[in-house]
Amino acid sequence: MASYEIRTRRFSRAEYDRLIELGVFQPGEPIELIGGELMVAEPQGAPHYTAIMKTAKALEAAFGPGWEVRPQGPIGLDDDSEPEPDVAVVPGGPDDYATAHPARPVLTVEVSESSLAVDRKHKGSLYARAGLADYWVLNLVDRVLEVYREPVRDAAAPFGWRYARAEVLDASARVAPLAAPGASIPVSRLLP
Amino acid sequence: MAVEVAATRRRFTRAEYYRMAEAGILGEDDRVELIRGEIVEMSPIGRRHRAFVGNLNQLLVVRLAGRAIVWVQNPVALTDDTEPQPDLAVLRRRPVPYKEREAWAEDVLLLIEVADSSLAYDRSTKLRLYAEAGIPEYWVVDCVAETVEVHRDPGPEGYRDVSRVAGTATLALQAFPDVELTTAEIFA
Repeated sequence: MASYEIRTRRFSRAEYDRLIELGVFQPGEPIELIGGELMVAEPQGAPHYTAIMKTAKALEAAFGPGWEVRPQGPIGLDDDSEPEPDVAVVPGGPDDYATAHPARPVLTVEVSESSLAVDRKHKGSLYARAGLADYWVLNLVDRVLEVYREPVRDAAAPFGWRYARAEVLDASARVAPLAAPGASIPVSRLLP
Repeated sequence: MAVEVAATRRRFTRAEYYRMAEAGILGEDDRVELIRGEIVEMSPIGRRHRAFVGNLNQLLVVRLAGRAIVWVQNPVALTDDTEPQPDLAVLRRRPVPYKEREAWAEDVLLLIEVADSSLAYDRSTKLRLYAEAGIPEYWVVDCVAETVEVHRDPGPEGYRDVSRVAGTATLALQAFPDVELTTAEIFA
């Protein structure tokens, strides 16, 4: 018997933006376009949201003026992806993104509880493919910060890329974003 | 404890599916059907598949003339989030014309899927959908083996009456027992 895999219809980012314009999705509906697939994001518990706000505040202080820290904002990543990472840091201010979403955050953070596997493997591969230099997974399960850097090709990864370097920092450690090397943020200031 | 769940795809209702079509996001080039909220791409149709759909269409149209309506690769609405596009559907004649309201499960007398690469899907997911919707009779035509699986008596667990027709044989429609087709005609 010949094998046959079910393939769902994939969407481009232009189609996704059109769906939003048409009002097909409810306002605030937690969806993201990931490699052409419309994925439902994980429901937010109190620790998850607290971690996002703490991380956003810590990054605002670390980066200072000239940088925009965006909690759960859309990123125009590529032709078939528009993820909404939990926190993204982009250059400039809000007015710079009045007509188009930012495409290349200098730092991207996902806060993970139930979505740990997806954030590490799928999103990690997607962000590596887009060349995002600094990707952090704030792992609430083990209360550590996972820092991923140096995107490299890997045919076995979901989107053909992965991060070559992974560093796991516990709550007592400090971290410096690649784009703000002078900063030193205690990991404990990010955790809920 | 970590509960590692797979990310889930956003599912769509029939209403949303139609809005996408109206907006031109799903177009004529999209060979898709809505299966439990997922917009599924249909398998490519091979030469034998096309030929057997053509044979079945011609046989059914001629033999059911004036008694039922035969549709080829048209959508049938089953639930709010499911609208497959079976290869053939035999529909009852009804007072409300089909241009006024889509074909729903209760209008269907027989559905036929002609399967080559999609055989497993047609026998599992599709079969359960059709049985749940109460489609009274469902044929799975196997292009490769040249057999027909006849499923009758639907229920929530599937079809209770299943027979496999192979070799030289005659099939009759449950809704019209006097209307017969032979395997030689179907697989000509």
